[in-house]
Amino acid sequence: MASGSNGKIRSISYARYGYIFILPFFIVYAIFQVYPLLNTFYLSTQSNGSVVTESVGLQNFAAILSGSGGRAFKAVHENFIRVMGNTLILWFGNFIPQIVLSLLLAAWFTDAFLKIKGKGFYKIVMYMPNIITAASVAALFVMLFADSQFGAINKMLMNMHILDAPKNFVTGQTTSRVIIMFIQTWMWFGNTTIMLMSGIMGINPSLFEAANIDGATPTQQFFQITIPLLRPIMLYTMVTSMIGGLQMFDMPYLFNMGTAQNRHTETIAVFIYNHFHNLKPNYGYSGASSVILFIVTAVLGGICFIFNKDDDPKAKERRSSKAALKSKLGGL
Amino acid sequence: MKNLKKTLAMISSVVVAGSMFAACGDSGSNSDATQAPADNGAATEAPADNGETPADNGDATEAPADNGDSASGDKLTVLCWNTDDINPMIENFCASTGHSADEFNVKSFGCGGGQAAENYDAYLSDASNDADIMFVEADWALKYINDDSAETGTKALSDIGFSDSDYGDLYDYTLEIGKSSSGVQKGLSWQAAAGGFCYRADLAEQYLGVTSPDDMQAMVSDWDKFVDTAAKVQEASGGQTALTSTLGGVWQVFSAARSTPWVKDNKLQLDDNCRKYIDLAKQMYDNGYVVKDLTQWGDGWLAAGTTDSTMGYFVSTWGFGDTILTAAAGGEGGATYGNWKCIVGPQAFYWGGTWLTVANRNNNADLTKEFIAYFTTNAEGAESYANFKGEYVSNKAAMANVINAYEGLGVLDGQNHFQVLNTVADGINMSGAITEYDSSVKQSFNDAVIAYCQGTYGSADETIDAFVDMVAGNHPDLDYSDFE
Repeated sequence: MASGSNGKIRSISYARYGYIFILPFFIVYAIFQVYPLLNTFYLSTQSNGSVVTESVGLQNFAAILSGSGGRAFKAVHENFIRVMGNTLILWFGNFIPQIVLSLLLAAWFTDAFLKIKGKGFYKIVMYMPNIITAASVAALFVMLFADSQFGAINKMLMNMHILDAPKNFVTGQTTSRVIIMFIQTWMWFGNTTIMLMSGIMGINPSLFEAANIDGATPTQQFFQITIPLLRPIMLYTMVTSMIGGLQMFDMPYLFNMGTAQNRHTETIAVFIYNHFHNLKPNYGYSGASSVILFIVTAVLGGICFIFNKDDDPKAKERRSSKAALKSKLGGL
Repeated sequence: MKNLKKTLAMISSVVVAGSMFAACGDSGSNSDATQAPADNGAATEAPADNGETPADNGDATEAPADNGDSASGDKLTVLCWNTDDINPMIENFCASTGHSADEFNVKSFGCGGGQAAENYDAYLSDASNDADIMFVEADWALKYINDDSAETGTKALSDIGFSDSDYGDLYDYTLEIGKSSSGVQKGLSWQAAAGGFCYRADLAEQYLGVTSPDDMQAMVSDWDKFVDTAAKVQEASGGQTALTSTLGGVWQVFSAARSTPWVKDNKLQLDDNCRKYIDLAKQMYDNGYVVKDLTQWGDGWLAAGTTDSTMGYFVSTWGFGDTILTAAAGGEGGATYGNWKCIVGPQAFYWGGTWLTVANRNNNADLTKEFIAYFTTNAEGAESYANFKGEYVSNKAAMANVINAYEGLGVLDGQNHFQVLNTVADGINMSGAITEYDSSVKQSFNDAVIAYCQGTYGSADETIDAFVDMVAGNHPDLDYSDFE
């Protein structure tokens, strides 16, 4: 496309000042993002424990993924499978209720015919849990659900004769998972609701009006108009939630009694953290599991995109006409 | 935004964990840390014999003794995780010896003892950072004591002028823990954290007919008797009272009474005492000889002491104040205040304590020696500090004087528990049982046993298997051939 006249314009280009101005960002990004990222790949091939500078090739990956070759490898493999399972369980358990609740609330709050009063107030209230630091929330819930008869919930249920003996809410397998799922849902549904609301408000209101005039029921409108047109936002929510869910760290790490992690709620991020901060740091395992997590996230993200591909015929037409135009231009 | 949240969560989790560890330090509260500058100021004003210093001395001492300054090589740089101990130590040391607090550069990382090593390593990785004395905890002391490297290692105490004959007055176990694997004395503790069993005297009389601490000691003098007595208490109280509050306390005793180390020749080992603990713990848990739902340091742990649900706690020297026992009695004038008595219990054990080591990059040997000696081998200094801080010090000669002058503790109805603990401290034998893996292995073992008690594992063998798996998951470079 370059032509002779462009040469002159380039000579008075201010682009290099632009580069200088954005340089600080790239320097910081390189030091704090790119370098650690590359270093993670490097660390994943290093040894663990007392001697951490020895290169072991892909042994860490073999240990984590297959577990053959000795008790230590088997243990780390089993732990990895366990924490991976925990992560998926905790993510599904908070994502599904969260998206259902948020969709419902978003649909109600944006419905022009419902005329809900004090929308701003509700939005603030729904968003509120997200403002509280995770540590405070965790401390609060640990106190509420404390395992002994001195825990508030235990005491209440016992006084109401629902429980005979105190239940191990914090250390029990199902209870601790359900509580963490609940906390995650509770903390993040406001955020998701607001996201989906903005998505719904971005839909052309004339579509709803037309549907109304044609006699479509609210349910039909929701499933035939709102949901299909909300897809890009849903995809965004899904991908961010998935990344957040796979990296879930704060609640599982903080929601426990004392220093010991609860084995039923230990997520992959906690696993990585623990190996990194081990008495004898296992940098190799930390690095290798981070890389595996990275790959898993990338693959799942890709799947999300494939499933949510825009299959609207008009868009297809647009795409194909664009492609045709491109090929035409290319031909010129 | 997400990253920010995570960072905040991480910081706050460290703070939360830190405050938990701070609780084990001594009765000092976290507010001590914030008082740090004030304490230093007071300390600098204390020595009145600064004759040679110019008249504007006051201004000079008020100039901040800037911490973390790498150029302060001539100052005594002390690495520690909080200032709960170092500030009173400097204050007392300066007041007694005429040194000035300006000669100290306290590098406190403001974290829990468990996170200190990580911070030390980061700090020491910069060769220009000064370090003279490093505070270490028994659980990970060997990480530094066994390290001879110039960067992160420690010096033998003989290198700065100590000789073996200096240590005669110190409790043996504190010396053992300060020795490297090859037997070189590299660390000394100024504390002796011997522990005893504290029980409710009124409940003991009611359920067991026991009226004196000696009789009570006879009923719990070994673990078999301890369990028998627990059964009696259980029966007499109709299941309302457990002899001791948590398994955590029992484990504290067992873990400090091992005769074989966790790791020997790079092989994981399981002490017979610990095998015994698995069965004992299960038995005590299932029969309600401990309060089932309490965990050590957990909610309600101390509150149980004001009710009749438990009649005993295992308490170490630092735990008689508000950290454990007085708090368990409901504070001064509380529900069970004055009803407690302290005895040796089934086994002599220690719980906690901090050791002083000399960094290899030490460039201030004279003051280092004077400082360490003042709190340990120097009986006068140790006694002065014992009275100053109310600390149970590791120097026996100093302690003998302190014990004689001691008037007894209110929560124990005036009993002189120092006398009891003195017997305990003499009886602790940790020779060769300390390894650098202790903190992590101990934690795994305790987790496994508690899971067994709660029914996660079906048998003691399964528990051991799970324990080995936990350790193997954490320490891939150890040899597990004994457990195949």
